[in-house]
This record gives sequence, structure tokens and C-alpha cells, in this order.
Amino acid sequence: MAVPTVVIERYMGGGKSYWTPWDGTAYGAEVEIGEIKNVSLKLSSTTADATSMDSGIAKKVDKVVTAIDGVTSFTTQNMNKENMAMAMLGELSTETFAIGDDLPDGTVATVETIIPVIIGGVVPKIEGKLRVVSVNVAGTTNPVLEIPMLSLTPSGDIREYFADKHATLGFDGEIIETDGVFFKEYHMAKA
Amino acid sequence: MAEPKKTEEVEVEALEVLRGKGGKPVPVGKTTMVTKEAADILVAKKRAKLVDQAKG
Repeated sequence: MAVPTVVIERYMGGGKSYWTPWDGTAYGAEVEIGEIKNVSLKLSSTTADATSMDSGIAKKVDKVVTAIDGVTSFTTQNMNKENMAMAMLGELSTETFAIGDDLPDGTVATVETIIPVIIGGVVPKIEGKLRVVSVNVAGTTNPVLEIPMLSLTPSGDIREYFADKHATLGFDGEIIETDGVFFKEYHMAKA
Repeated sequence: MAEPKKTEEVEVEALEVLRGKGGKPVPVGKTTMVTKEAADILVAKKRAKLVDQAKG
């Protein structure tokens, strides 16, 4: 019998991450949320054992999977308003300052000035679609991870918010099955 | 000489750091062009600030 050939892929590299927010009824516009510094994906299953007692001694006769859970965590670098708003559980908005008003940096407006602002801590629940488009320097394909529905939380600090190196943003997410899809990993041939 | 119109640009000296047209800051002592209306507002607000500071 012929032994099937298995192509061994190794993953190493980085890529970009994209986020499509879900407002509870519809998806919004997809935005890039930074370069990927690392992504972890953890799948786990919960099982229930069936035991037979016909001989008086419990013997396992079956093992049934009762749940599959998936979590992911990822860290991005390169800040933009969108990923910073997510890390701050915030909402993107703008604030208008009139002529003569003190601006947030202490300067004074000489024209009506509209400044983008993140109102932090007002979005307790972040849900949406995550797409990680990787650039795999080790293998022959570039994996694309697509999670249609992810419940996301910032994973603590906005690391090195202001420091002498690039800041990073960390997120943890719980995968939610949507339309029968938990998540997909596409393998795109390299150009 | 006729008073400039509200929309006409006049040169002002920055008494505090101004955020000029195009978003670039104008340091104290430097001049920039603003509309006559903006100049009047800037002067009025600066005067109000000085009055507030004097009152403590």
C-alpha cells in the first residue's frame, strides 16, 4: 500500500490583522488593526465518560465529546485609532473646538478644529470577525486565519504605552460558532 | 484705512502657542495669518484669560 505523501509546513513569520466589528445585527467595515507580533490558538474539548458496572467494577466503555471550545490571543504592533479604541474598550468619535478654544495639547485653535478622539471604557463588549493574513517565511504557503465571530477582550496593559520602543496591544478572544463555522485556516500559495 | 472684513486675513503675533492653518503649531512670538474674525475672538479670549488669572 502506498504511503500518502504529507507536505510538512512550518510556520514562522508575521503578517497583518484585520477586524470587522459586529454590532449585534450586522458587520461594519473591515479595518486593519496592526501587524501581528504573535497569534495563539487553543482548542479544547470536554468529554463525558460512560462506564459499565455490569461486572460490579466500573469500566470505561465510551467517551463522548460534549463541548469544543476555542480561544485565541494575539498581539499587534503599529497603533491606529481603530486598534487603540479596541484596546481601550472605546468608541471612535470626533470633537469640535471653536476658534480661541484651548486644544488638548495646550495650543489654541485659530480655526474651527475637528480632532479625532477615543472615548475610552464605553464599549464593554467587542465582537466581530478576525482575519489574520500571515507571511510565512518558512513554508510554502501563507496561512490565513479567519474567525467569523470572536468575543474579544484586551489582555491587560497597553504595553509600553509611551516608552522608547514600539508599543504593542494584546487581545484575548473566545471563538463563537457562527453559521456552522468555528474558524477556518486557508492556505494561500506564495506568489 | 478701512477695517478689514471678517473673512479677510490679518497677521497676528502668537501670545500663546497657536494651532494655525494646516494644523501646524505657531510658537509664541511668531506671526501667522488668521481671519479678522478669528483675530478678534483670539484677542477677546486671551483678554478674558488674563482677567481670570488676575482675579486668581
